[in-house]
Amino acid sequence: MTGLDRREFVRRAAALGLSLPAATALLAACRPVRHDPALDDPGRALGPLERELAIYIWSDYVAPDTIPDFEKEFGVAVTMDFYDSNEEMLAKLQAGARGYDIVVPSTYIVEVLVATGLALPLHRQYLTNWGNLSPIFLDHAFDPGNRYTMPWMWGVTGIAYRRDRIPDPPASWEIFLDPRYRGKMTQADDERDVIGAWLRYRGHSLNATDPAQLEAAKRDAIHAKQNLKAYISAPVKGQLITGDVWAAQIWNGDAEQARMEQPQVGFVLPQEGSTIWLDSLVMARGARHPRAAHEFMNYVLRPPVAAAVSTATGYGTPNREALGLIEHPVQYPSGEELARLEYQRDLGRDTATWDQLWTEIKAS
Amino acid sequence: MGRSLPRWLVALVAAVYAFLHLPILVLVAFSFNASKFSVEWTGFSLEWYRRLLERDDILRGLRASLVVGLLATVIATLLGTLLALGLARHRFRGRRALEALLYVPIVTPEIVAGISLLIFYVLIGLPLGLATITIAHVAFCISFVVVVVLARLEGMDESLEEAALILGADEITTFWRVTVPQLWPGILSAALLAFTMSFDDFVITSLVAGPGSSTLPLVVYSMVRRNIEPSINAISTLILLVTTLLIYLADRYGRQRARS
Repeated sequence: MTGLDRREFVRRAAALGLSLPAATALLAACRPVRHDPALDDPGRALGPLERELAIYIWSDYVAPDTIPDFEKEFGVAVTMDFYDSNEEMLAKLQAGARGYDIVVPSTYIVEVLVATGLALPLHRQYLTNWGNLSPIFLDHAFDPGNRYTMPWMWGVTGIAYRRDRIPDPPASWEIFLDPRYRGKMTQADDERDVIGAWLRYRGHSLNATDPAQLEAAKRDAIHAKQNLKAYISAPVKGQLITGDVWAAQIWNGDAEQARMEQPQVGFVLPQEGSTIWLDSLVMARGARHPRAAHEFMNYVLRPPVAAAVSTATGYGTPNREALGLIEHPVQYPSGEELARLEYQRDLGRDTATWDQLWTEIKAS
Repeated sequence: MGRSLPRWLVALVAAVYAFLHLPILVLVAFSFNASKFSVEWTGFSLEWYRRLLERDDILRGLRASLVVGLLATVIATLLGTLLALGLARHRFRGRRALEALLYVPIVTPEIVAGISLLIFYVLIGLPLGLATITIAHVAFCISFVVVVVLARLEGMDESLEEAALILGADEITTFWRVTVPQLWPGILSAALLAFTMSFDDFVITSLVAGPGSSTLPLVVYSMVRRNIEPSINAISTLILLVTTLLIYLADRYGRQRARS
């Protein structure tokens, strides 16, 4: 203790204080690998299989065995990070976060990722199981020819309802305007779903940008809001099960999960039409393990793996070879139903208009 | 002493405590609920504690939170205490400005702090991960540490240190044997505060986290939209148990020291 004089003490303390910036500088020295041009050219070969893979995905979106089995078979260590909304993931990538190999955007976010160069093209020669995918889910306007996206899970937005409380199945979005069920109904906490439903109700596209059509949708939404208990998305399942909510705008997979606990829960696709959503696996700019990303995609294209994911999540698989392996598969929409279903597109500059409408609806 | 409190005051106190603690009791109770949806009591079950062992994502989140929390606490407490000592014991040019600057991180909205840190990291090419989260947490914890330690320093009697120096102790001995023991409660509460703030920070962390570094709050939040599995209640109950135990032990240790 006495061996140190005051100057020495100050010097040592300063050394401790300095270690932080020093560490920063040190870490800054190991910058991420530079972008490999082969990644932008789908015709070129990728390097050998890397030992790691980073996936940025919605929570609970794989089966419990999906990742451990992949790690064992391929000798690749997988790190998983989770997001709660498409916008959260997009914001992260746009701010410059790098190092995620695979992200899982919905249709309208795919367009933004591609337009801003944040999506990298798929090297299809590594995806030998591609043929297992149903053509229903391929080659849509948000990614013509599937240059960037591999379909992962799909579903539709509809109305889940309690059969014991609402005798006639609610065939139309009009149910939410019905004062008989005031305080017993919910719509999704999602501007695309709510405004989209009211656009379809008046016979318009759920990607409409026409001011008059949007204005009408806003009026209907505000009208319906008087009858709603809340805007709430998937967690409404619990209230459907207990009977606190009788009708809810919800995804079919979540309606199915509620039905498994409470057989009185039914699900309908409104006659005016609704959203069909499709989440896809996409390789993100800055991916450091492109070969492992492709091996993973090809792995989940195997029918047993796709079937397990669909069973665990309750959502539909675009893998048609997997359907036969699932006990209660989510059936593909019929041609008639497909005609009523629409994918969400990027609204571009009109996103701000929609945001404004949603704020007005919620504040009304 | 011994005078009974007015009844309305007792009722008010009871209401305040119920308001603070009932939600926690509900959370604990539902960790033993058999149902997957935390709305209805369907029977006692330890299923969610068992399931916790299978939830790799939650456990990894917990580990990340602990690593970041402990590292950030140690670094922030060390730096913050030194800074507080410097500010309290030395008069130098710019001291007031330095002290005022300390309050900037406290009043800055988290979202602003998070975004500026993220932009800064991207700019210098620092890969996002546990390191960037730790640095961010140290950055916002230091101010709180300094404020707490400064408050303690102000209540301390400098004459004790002067006495030690006059009686022949050198500055280092004085520091360790007189200053630090007196300061210790302040340092300890600063460290506890820093750890708590680090452990449950969401906004800043979500912005500066990178691949493989999701902390527990990030993992929990990502589940909100789908369904919050009661495993979350289970792990919260366990964390609650451990922290209560730690606080109890710290309190007992503090009393023992005070007595001796």
